[in-house]
Amino acid sequence: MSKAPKPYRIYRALLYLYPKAHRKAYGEQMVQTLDDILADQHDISEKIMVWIRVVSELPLNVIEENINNLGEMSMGKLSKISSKQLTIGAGVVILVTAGVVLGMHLRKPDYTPTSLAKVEHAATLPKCLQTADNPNIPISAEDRAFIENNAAGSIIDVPAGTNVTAYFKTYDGTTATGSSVYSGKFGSYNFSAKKTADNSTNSYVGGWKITRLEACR
Amino acid sequence: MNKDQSQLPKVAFSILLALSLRERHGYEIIKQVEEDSNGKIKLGPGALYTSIKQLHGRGLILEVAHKDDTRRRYYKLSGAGRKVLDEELLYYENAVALARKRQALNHINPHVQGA
Repeated sequence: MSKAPKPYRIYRALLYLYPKAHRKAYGEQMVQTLDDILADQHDISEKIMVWIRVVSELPLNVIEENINNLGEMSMGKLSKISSKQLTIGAGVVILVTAGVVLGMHLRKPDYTPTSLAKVEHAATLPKCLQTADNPNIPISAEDRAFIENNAAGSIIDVPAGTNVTAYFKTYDGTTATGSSVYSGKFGSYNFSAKKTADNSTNSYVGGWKITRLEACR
Repeated sequence: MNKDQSQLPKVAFSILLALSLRERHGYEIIKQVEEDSNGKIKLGPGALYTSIKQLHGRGLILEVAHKDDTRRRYYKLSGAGRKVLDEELLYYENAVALARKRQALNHINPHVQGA
């Protein structure tokens, strides 16, 4: 199983700020819900707004959960924590988490294409590359045709240099595996594509055959 | 619960209301709460599951296994949750009726008339 992308790994790490019991009971569901929210956003600005919302709610939420968890702490001890201290603590956590999460989210993908493949990096990783367990769900004939004629057809070998709308992690010379991301009705897909025409020019439409197509949720 | 007294925080009430029609998973709850509040309540995963934990701890909602979606946990109202929601709604209904009687809503909506 491949590792989750960094923003998710960071979010998982931030969950360690919560009490263990809360993290154990709801941590996976929090990550899943964040994944669902992000999958429903169509561009980077919307995704950033989600991260801002998630990060901004985190400090007070963490403090609330930890205070709730300190049932055994006497009110006398609790009262020694002033509201000013709480505010400063919350501010520090907000700044650190916001900086780390947004910084990592805006970084280029950290996978390395093979020498035969050329990939135009997206601002963020395509969603399909972000999870290892995307479920298979039915794909319309229209979507499949679009992917075969455009997404896989846009995979380019060296020295081609046209725009790439497909993203792949591996390519052994005949088979490419990766993701293609389209907004609107086409959604996001993982795919494997097999090369069917031996050319190395810019035009690859029809030169690739989809061997596996898996929609992202 | 005393019908003259609201006992639920706003977010908790909104979650119960979101679950009043059917069971939902986390993101579905977030979307429904946002829609029901005209976008005024935007929950993130942290705030959502803090409220869910409290509601679950009070026995107002139940976890439901979903055979077609094993990755997400679904929630539904319990009998106690339905009762509390009904009481909350009755409280708000009475409050609005009282406000109408006193014409306290007229500055919000001039078309609202006293009872």
